[in-house]
Amino acid sequence: MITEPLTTADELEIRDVVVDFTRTTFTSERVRAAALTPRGYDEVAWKQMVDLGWTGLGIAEDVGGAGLGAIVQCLVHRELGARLAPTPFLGSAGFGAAALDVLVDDDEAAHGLLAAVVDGTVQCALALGHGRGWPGHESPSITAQPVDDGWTVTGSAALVLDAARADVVLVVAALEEGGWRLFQVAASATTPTPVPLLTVDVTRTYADLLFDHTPATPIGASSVTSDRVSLLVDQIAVYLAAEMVGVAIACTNQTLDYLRTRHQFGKPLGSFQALKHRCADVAVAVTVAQELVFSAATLIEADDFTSLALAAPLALARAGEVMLHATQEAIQLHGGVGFTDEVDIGLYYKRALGDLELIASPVDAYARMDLVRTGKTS
Amino acid sequence: MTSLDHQVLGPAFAQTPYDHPFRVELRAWLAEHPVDPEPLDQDARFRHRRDWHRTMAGNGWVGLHWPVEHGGRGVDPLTQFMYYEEVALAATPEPVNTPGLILLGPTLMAHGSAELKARFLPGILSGDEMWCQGFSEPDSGSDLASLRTRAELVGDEWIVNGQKIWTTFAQYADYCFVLCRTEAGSERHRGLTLLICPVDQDGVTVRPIRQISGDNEFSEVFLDDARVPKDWVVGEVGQGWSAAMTLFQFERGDQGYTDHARMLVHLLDCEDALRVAEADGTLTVDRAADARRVQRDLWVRIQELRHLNYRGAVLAKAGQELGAVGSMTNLVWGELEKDLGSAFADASGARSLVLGRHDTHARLASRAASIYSGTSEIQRNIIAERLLGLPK
Ligand SMILES: Cc1cc2nc3c(=O)[nH]c(=O)nc-3n(C[C@H](O)[C@H](O)[C@H](O)COP(=O)(O)OP(=O)(O)OC[C@H]3O[C@@H](n4cnc5c(N)ncnc54)[C@H](O)[C@@H]3O)c2cc1C
Repeated sequence: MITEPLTTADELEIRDVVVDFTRTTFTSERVRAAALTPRGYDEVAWKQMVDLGWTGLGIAEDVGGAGLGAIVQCLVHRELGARLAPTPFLGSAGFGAAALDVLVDDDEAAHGLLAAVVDGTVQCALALGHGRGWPGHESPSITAQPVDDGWTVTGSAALVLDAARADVVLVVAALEEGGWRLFQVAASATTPTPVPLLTVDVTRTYADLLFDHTPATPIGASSVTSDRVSLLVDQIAVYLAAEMVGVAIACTNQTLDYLRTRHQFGKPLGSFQALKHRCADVAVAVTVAQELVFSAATLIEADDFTSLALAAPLALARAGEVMLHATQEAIQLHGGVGFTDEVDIGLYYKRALGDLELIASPVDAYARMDLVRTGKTS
Repeated sequence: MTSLDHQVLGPAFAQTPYDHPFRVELRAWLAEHPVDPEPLDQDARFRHRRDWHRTMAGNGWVGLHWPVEHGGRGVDPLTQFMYYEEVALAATPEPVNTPGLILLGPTLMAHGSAELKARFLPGILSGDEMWCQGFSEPDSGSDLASLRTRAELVGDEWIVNGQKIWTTFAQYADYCFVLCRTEAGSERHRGLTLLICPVDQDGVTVRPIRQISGDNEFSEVFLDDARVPKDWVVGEVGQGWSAAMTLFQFERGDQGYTDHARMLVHLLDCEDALRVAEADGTLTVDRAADARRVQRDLWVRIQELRHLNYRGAVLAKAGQELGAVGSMTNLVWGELEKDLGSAFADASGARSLVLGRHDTHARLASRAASIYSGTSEIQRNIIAERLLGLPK
């Protein structure tokens, strides 16, 4: 339908494997069935993904990953988004692994955790102590306190992705002397133990986390600056934006199929010019949003963090807007059946609503972009 | 000085002033009859609305624009306009039995026999008998005239076979008005008849369909040798399309049913939610500012709808046809309703993802507004072709 930003033969080959697996695995029936299981995701498929090495695709080789970089990582997020795959991939292998990579330099504990994320023995979730979006001037929502024999963290994080079933919560907490530090908290140590929140998106699990002087183990030797935390947010924003593009493409493709086959007034719906134009507009918007996302991924690979600081909020905001629009159009163009739970269109819309709140709403991402552009970030 | 009325509803209209005696009378009654907030659960919500309908009907506050001979007060459309504003201001439950009250009742008055009027109008008004609309079929939505459900007269009964779909509140309804083909081999608008079909019988199977909002408000309705008394025909046999067109006039035009006042009251809830979310830090300063701008735009758009409704009421009072103005109202209303649903949820940011909240539910439910009473696309076609005279 739309242009494919992947170019190299390797990337295209990986894409075909990923598409093949996600298509056959994440059928509508399985996605819906997974939502009803106690863990809230497809454990069999998740294990297969781990065995296939997907959790390590973007992770450096020296800690057990494949070292293939951000573009391949984004490709996986896109295709999982396209199938609304109910797995903890984004929270654990996306957000969690990125935190361990970006916030910690060469540290044994971090390497060990990364390796465990890659081999699936640990599933983690990420709680950002500055709240949503990028760290700014607001007071932190999670702080760290040194105690006799170590550290504790205190505060809260709302609607944390994949936290309800995580083994480990990675907490980015504010230090009293300024700066941030990454901590590891056993999920069972939070107060109370996280319970899954019932949200509109049944293909995802979320939890509200509360920390009340909860024992926490620091990861890495030293604190990091807000800029470093911003870089982490940039990176995970690009991963999320890739998923958003996948959601938009998939629901648009389903809609196009529907418009080709459904007849009213003796013609396929897709022959009505008013609808053709709407589809054309969505296709253009999705194409462009995808370009924004994959050029941001290229910047991650090139370590061009100055450009990334602009590109990431731009990609997140635009992909978010386009995804929302595409899913809303999909409902409308399906007519009555689009409003039912009997087709998957509504599931895409509800995934979109969740994704828009995950890191930063488009409005907040544009505000961040403006700050970066005008040099007012610190 | 602006009053609360101005703040909520907007500028007054010359013919429906805020101190109009009708408003004063209705306000006094509403003040004496407080009502609980609406529950979220679908069945409870339906009962809540139905009970309120019965309370109002018992006191003569339903169907005011119906003629006195049919149990109404025969009020003019502008009074009806004020009526809808007042019941909305009092935050009363949404109207229920609209297929009966808004659609079939008035159509019966226009096309029905004396017997049918006497048999069915009182139950519609009192809310003792609930109705649903059996028009759409799996293959006939926007293209209603392609419908295939058929009925055959056998002795003194119609035997109806076919399938309806998206039938709202069929599971609560006593009767369904069914548009079906009574002339074998007929096509499109010809050979159709509007029948009144009892729902509680062996030949009628209702299967609720789950919606994206989690509700099951509409159903598939299977008609397998369903029986309808010979005389329960609205209008003439074979003239069902004409009866349906009359009915659509009411759907697209009922002055004030188009909800502007409910929307304005709802917008107050959105504004409250935004204030809370901003104060407790749920929304950033930028997001709160954006939400406020959206809410202001919505207020303006609802004022536009309100003016359209007022014009509709003025035209109707002068005995003029609404024509395609009804489609304008419907288009403006449907698009607004969706944006209002989203604005309500957006005002609380991420919290409105959590199930069990009114804003969470309202955003999802509102997506149907540009589909269910004729899609926005179909309304635009009608405006372009019938009102503007552009070629088909
Ligand atoms: C919540 C809800 C409640 C409902 N309640 C009832 C009820 O109680 N009784 C009842 O009979 N029906 C009911 N309906 C059905 C409703 O009237 C139909 O859904 C509507 O008419 C559209 O028909 P469809 O669903 O078959 O969509 P389709 O007609 O298949 O339309 C699909 C898409 O194509 C577009 N389209 C179709 N034709 C054209 C064209 N010529 N030009 C441009 N675009 C076009 C439509 O606008 C839509 O976007 C309800 C629907 C909903 C969603």
